[in-house]
Amino acid sequence: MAKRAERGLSRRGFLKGTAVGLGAVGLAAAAPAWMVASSGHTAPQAVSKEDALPPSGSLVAFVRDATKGEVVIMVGSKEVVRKDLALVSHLASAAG
Amino acid sequence: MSSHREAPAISKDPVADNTDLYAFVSPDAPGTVTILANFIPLEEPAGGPNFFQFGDDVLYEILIDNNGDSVEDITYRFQFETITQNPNTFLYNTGPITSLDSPAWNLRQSYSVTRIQGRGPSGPPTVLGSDLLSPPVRIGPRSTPNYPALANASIHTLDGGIKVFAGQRDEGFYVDLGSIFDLGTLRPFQNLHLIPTPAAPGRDDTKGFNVHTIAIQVPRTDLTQDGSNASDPMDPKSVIGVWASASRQKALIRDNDGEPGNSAGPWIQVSRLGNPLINEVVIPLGKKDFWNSQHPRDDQQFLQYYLDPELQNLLPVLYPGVFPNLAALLSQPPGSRPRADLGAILLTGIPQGIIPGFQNFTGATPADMLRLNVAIPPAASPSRLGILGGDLAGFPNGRRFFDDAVDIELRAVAGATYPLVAPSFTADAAAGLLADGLDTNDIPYLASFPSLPHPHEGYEHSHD
Repeated sequence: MAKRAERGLSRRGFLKGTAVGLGAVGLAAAAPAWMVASSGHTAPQAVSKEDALPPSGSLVAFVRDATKGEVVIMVGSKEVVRKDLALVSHLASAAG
Repeated sequence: MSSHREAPAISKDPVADNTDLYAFVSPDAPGTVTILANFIPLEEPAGGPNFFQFGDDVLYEILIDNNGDSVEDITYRFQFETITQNPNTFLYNTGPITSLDSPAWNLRQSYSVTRIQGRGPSGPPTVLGSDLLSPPVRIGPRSTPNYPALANASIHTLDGGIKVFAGQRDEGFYVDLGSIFDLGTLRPFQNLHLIPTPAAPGRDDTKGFNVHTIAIQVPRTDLTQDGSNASDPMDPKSVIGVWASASRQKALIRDNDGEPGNSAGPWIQVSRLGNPLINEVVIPLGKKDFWNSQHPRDDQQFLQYYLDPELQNLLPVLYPGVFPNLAALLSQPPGSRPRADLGAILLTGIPQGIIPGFQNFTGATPADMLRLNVAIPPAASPSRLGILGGDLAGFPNGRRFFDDAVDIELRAVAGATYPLVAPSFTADAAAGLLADGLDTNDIPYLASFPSLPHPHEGYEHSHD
């Protein structure tokens, strides 16, 4: 598994790095109005050293329901759930 | 089948489909317990060129509760890796495979075994073995000419007196699928069926098929709560609960490059198995995959299906007049006649005082596990009917590979065991006779670990 994940790193990296720069609160302004209006704004959580990305491996970010402002971030066999409207907005905008 | 293709989603994911689970005090080494967990149902032996393998992206686990709280205290974790020696040929092997280091063996699989001690999945892991080779599949006399030698070389002895094997085996579970799934008929009794045809002998519909088995044999002292050798059958510490599971990571990202994809996230359980035939015929269709995803400690939510199984309600309908006492029982409201016997056999273990000299009770928490009293020694003259046949070393005291789970559970569901908890109830005569007409496997079992026979070969096998 690890071997395959490493092999895929250079070619894939789905939404890789999206957890970096979560302090960009202003991005919420670019979000669709329905998203902001229905979910309310939640301040992004600070990224501690412990939260930082590992040096290698894929990262998957999953938004089940954008109106809730929750992002599920999966790295290795770990998963964290972030309530972060700005990040969700940014992802939504990036997805076009 | 036992738990083959038993739920809609897992039937489409065979490498993660846990088909059978066995746990018994080893006849070949009575100081140990052997646990076998089978995966990949109904392997056609000739199914090349990409023969059957374990999933590299599946987490296989055997879990043991030894203090009666229905939570794992010991976990044995198996993870596989496929090695392709030469990707420029379509061949599984480029010549006869005469040993595990044969250069002619192109597509091989190795695995690691990790033991996790402690409650839940967070205990400290100990790697018991890594880079352990599985044997090749059994192809034919040219490709795998001395298969028993290859298989035996794949039995790995680890520190602490532990043996492991992971690879292809004969499907040791025997059942007349064709009849049972044809509106519950049983060939020996089908003259009495609602839609009758002449009685006939049973047919072994798993004959000639293979499975993939994860087998581990460990000292009893590794498994008991206090590390003792468990000599007193009436001591609660002599009982362990065993179940198996298969999990996949939460996310899989596919790309169009022919690679298997990137997995990420926590492991999500997609298959589990304790007692045979439960998710098959007790849990309803709409809950089967959900049942597979759940932990045994939460089986209270499925209690109604165990205590009033659909099958017991079908029997008097499918066999008119054959089960009058069961029909009379079922005429009462379900809440007034819970099958506490089935609850004990399948969910809590059998408490003291029911069967002389025996108990495998693990407490009141309902949890679907095989419960094995490790202080019961292997039987000198085993009965395929296990405890129903007077053999305390057999199912539902754990489960041996030759135990006739179909006949045992048919009889139990038909009411044969209900008098254990309701002495005023007289089981119908037919309840003690129910059978699918098969008493053993199509080929002999092995006398020693890993017990299940060598697989059928692709070149020469038969399902008739």
